[in-house]
Amino acid sequence: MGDIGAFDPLKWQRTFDYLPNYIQGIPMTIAISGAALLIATLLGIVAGVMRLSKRSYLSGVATVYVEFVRNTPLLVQLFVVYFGLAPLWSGNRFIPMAIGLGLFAGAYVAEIVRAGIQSISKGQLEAALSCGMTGTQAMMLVILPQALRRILPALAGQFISLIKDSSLISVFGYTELTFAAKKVTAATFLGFHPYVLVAGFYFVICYPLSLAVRAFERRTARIG
Amino acid sequence: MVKVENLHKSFGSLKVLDGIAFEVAKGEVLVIIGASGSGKSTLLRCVNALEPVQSGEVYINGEAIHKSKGRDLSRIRTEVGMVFQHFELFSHKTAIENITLAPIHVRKLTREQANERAMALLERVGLPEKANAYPSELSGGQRQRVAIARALAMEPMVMMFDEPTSALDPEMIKEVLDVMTDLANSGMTMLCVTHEMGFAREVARRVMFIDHGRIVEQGAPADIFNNPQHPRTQAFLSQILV
Repeated sequence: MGDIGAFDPLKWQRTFDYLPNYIQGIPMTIAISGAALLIATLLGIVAGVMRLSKRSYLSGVATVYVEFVRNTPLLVQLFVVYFGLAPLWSGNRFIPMAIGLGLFAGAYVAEIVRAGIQSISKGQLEAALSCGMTGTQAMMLVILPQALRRILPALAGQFISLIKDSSLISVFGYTELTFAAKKVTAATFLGFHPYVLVAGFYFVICYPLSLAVRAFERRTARIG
Repeated sequence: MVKVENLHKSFGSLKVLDGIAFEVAKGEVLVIIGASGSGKSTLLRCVNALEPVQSGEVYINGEAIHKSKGRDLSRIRTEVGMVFQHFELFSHKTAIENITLAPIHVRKLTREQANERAMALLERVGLPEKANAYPSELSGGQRQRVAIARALAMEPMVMMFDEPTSALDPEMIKEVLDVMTDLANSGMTMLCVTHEMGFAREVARRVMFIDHGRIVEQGAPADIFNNPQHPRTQAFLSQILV
């Protein structure tokens, strides 16, 4: 146990020699997470609304999607999407990886959106309809805005998970943060130190997001 | 203006409306009274098709709302303003945004036109200084007055009130009833479900007593309140007019 040299300054020194690798990985992690987040949000809202549709083919499609994603491992999904889609973009890893992560997170976002919509009282819909709005207008102008505000903390949690899950794509050789740690391990034969450092970077990216959501909640508290 | 024919409605095996038929003329104020569970609220909700009916017909200004769908249904609903017991203001919108939302998106008014109309309505309900307040910052009475302004902003032909004061603290009831009285005096056609018998007596042109989904008795308020004919009306009124 005492052998890893957790406090060995030399080993830390060697790890930090590779700091540029990590720094390069940060924008990659943020870019792929951001792209996946965009896909997940759009897909999640659409699928979440579809789940509640009275038309069974719409709710059916959404249910199959959500259940399939939630009951298979993310890494397996990423392999499927990667090998399925990578040929379409001739070796470009970014697009299929973003789609893979986005498809995964979108299913969870869909469930959050569905719960959010169901939490808005039926009276809000009726008030909107009685003003002459169509069902679509009521959803877009009255229900969704309130639901999205209410589920923001849950969504933020999901988005933070998404950033963390993006570490899995290092498996495909995409040079994001975790891949940087891998490379450092290969070069230095150090295991512990590079991964502690990379964990620190993830924390630095994710924690401000949590703080930002809390600040937003405080700022909009008066809307109630 | 509003015509209801042979309306039947059940929730499962529970019969809520059992062959209701009536008409409301332009400018008439009809107050519907009855014990809770008698079907009054359901009746209002059937009139603007928030509840589907099992059989019967509902006409708004001659148009059959009970068999309308989609855009037609929405268009007919713009002619029927609805005020709810629990206000149902859009909580993410300020008072004035609550009032302008439907005029902008449904009536296609410009924001300026809608704002102008909304401010006039807020004046009318006595709340111009609350234009930029969120519903959570308003008292119950103020919320209900904004809700009335919101319904009026669509310039409906008929206004329906579903127990508009039942969720209010006693000291706020009057401010809402004053707005409703003012509205009635301006010639608005109104259908009101309420337990405010003072309002019914003074403002209604006609009072209708409903029990078990049927119209038991109806007539001028003086007749209904001073000289009810049916024993069930007598029993109800003796309980409520202590």
